[in-house]
Amino acid sequence: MSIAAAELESPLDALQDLRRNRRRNRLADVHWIDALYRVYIVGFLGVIAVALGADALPGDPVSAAEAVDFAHDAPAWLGLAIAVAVGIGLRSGSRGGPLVLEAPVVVHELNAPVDRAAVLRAPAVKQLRFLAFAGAVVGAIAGELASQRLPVNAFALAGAGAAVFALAGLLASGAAMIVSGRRVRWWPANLLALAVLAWSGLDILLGTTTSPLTWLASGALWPVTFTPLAIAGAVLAVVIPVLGVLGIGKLSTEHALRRASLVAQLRFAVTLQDVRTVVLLRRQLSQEKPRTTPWVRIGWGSSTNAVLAVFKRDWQSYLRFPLVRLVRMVVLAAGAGIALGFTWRGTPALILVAGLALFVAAYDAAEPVAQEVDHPTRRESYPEDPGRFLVNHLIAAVMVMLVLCVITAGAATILIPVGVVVQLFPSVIVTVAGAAALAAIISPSQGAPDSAALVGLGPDVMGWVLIARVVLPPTLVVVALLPLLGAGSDPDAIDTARVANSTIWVFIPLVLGFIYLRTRKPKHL
Amino acid sequence: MSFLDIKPPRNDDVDQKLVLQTFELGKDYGDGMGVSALDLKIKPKELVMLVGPNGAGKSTFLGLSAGMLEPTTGAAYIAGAAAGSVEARAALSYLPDNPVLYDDLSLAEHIEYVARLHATVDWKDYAEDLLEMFGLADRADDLPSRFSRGLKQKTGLILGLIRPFRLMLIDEPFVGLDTPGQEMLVEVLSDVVAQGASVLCSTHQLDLVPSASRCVGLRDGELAYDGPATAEKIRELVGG
Repeated sequence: MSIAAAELESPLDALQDLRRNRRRNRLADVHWIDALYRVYIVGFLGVIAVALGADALPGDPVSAAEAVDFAHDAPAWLGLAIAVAVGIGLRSGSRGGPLVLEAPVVVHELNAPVDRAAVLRAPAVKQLRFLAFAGAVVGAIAGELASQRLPVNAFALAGAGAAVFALAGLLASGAAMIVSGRRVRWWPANLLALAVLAWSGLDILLGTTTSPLTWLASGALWPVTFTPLAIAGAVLAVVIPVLGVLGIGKLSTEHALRRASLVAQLRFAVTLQDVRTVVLLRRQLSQEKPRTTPWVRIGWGSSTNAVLAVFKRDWQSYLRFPLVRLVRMVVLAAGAGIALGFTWRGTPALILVAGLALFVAAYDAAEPVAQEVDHPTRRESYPEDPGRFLVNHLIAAVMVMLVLCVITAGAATILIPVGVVVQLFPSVIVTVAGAAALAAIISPSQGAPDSAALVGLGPDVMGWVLIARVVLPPTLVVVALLPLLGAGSDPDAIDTARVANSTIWVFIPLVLGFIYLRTRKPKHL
Repeated sequence: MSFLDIKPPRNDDVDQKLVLQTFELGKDYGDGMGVSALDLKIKPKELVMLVGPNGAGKSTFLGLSAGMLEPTTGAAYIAGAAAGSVEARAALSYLPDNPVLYDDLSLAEHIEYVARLHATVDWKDYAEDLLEMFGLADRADDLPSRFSRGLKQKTGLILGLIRPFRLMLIDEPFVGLDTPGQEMLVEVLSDVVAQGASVLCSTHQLDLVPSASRCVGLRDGELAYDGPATAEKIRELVGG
């Protein structure tokens, strides 16, 4: 037995020693080839992302005057993006986030007669450091991409972007820590998140720079135009995380233990790229439960028609959606509209964001069918062909997506003239709504990855198959949106015929997707 | 409804001599009451069996008493200190139903860490005794996260015993143990009480009845019985 002699008997010394031991044991488990392979994969994906992003952005540089105009308008939008991150942080904080502690840390360290702040400070700082680093990387890439159009030094823009995004990461995480450390309930946290979002929204609508988040965002464009208020925003982004770390000691152990258990499962599901499990665990993490009482109760019917039965079951599910899920679907649809607006204004890469937002919104619309897929034996027990059974669920999902697409079109009018939206909307709404619903149903109907079967393909092929499983469904939505790129940017000469003709080609992947769904069989456990 | 979720500790009527005292302790999970307004007192040197059918609220009550869960009503005090406070944590050893272990620490490292976190004096000889007693002396350098269920349970028990405490809260400690392990655990818990500490143990293990000074029965989150522990009474309480 090798219990080391303890020279120092302070519990805090024990804490330091434990962390050293754990680090040493972890490092002993990591082979340097594995570590290099991880660096290679991350670097490879990063290079692909930057190259694709750079190609997707229009290469024509804007004039100095246009750049100044951009620097006046852009901070409000970037401020809104930061507000979304802060809002997510506030919501997460009310549920014990953003810290994710391991269960043994909660049980042994938070239960020891040691100042909890001392136990939690290190993980809190580690989390802030990680988010600042991740923000800096994203900001630097965004700055570098933006420098292709703006007539300023690329290094300066990348540096400013890195600094602002890093501070945004600190701010969002720090806000969450303040809320979790003070054990603020969910409703004041949500109210605060709404207020932060509304303030940034007002800056966009009124063309003002009143929100501290707009101030902070303006720092990203310092190389174009200097705004002293950015310093105030940056100071706030430093003070908030400091306050968060100082108050983290009062974190709820109940929240910490719940998060520890769920996040461990979540990480495992992510490594398997099992999207459905990730979604289910994320809902548990955010305590998103179906309503006990539906918004509207549908009475018993007398029809024995299977299509109607599925249709009714789907709507019974939607009518039990919690408010937060409904709001998220609306926000995602509106976000897709905003992204399409920017696409029309000259940033075609954002069509990917629009497609992804609609796919995620549709994923909720596919919730009833996902629940069927979760239980293959039950699904197989129905006296209905399994493929047809899946297809029957499409009807309600498409209806929901049609409504969401109307919201998308409405949001797009913020950035696109109403006349343009009205001309283009009828050409694409059916295919986009259909593609989103189809893609969202295909995703869970694939079931969890069959590791045993995939291993036979070899590690490289297995990796690509796993990626394809995740990427193809949202790609279907992006494909349905692509005809919009042919509309042209002149509001007085919108090429509706070209858009309509391109839309016909979208039916090919849609039909293929439909055939895939129609021929799916449940996987036996 | 208060803006903050922090409730002021209730210090009135707290008896410093009791190792556990709860005042209308309740937990509402939102979709059903976990525990409803429980008043319970445990004196030093008591071995109390906590029994009840599945879903009765036993684990919730232990979690609340340990300060791991936040009560929606009432309060719990460990040796006169509010549950969850530093003083309460120093006086309490809490073993959840599922042993919680670090993935990357050996059994010996676990023991050292827990002992030192609780400022245990002269823990090394005691650690060797415990390892010997639980038959894990030759596994001290192994990672317990890779142990079987029963060995993990023994590891959890060692970690619960290695540090000083006045009250031990244990949730289903007999699950996963083999027969010799169960017999030894009965002996260990009796020794703990003989040395002056108290034990509140959630279990239906009838072997513990002769050693138990009391039995507390829960049903639907409410106190259904508080009296002498007998095999008949336990069967009645568990059988519902």
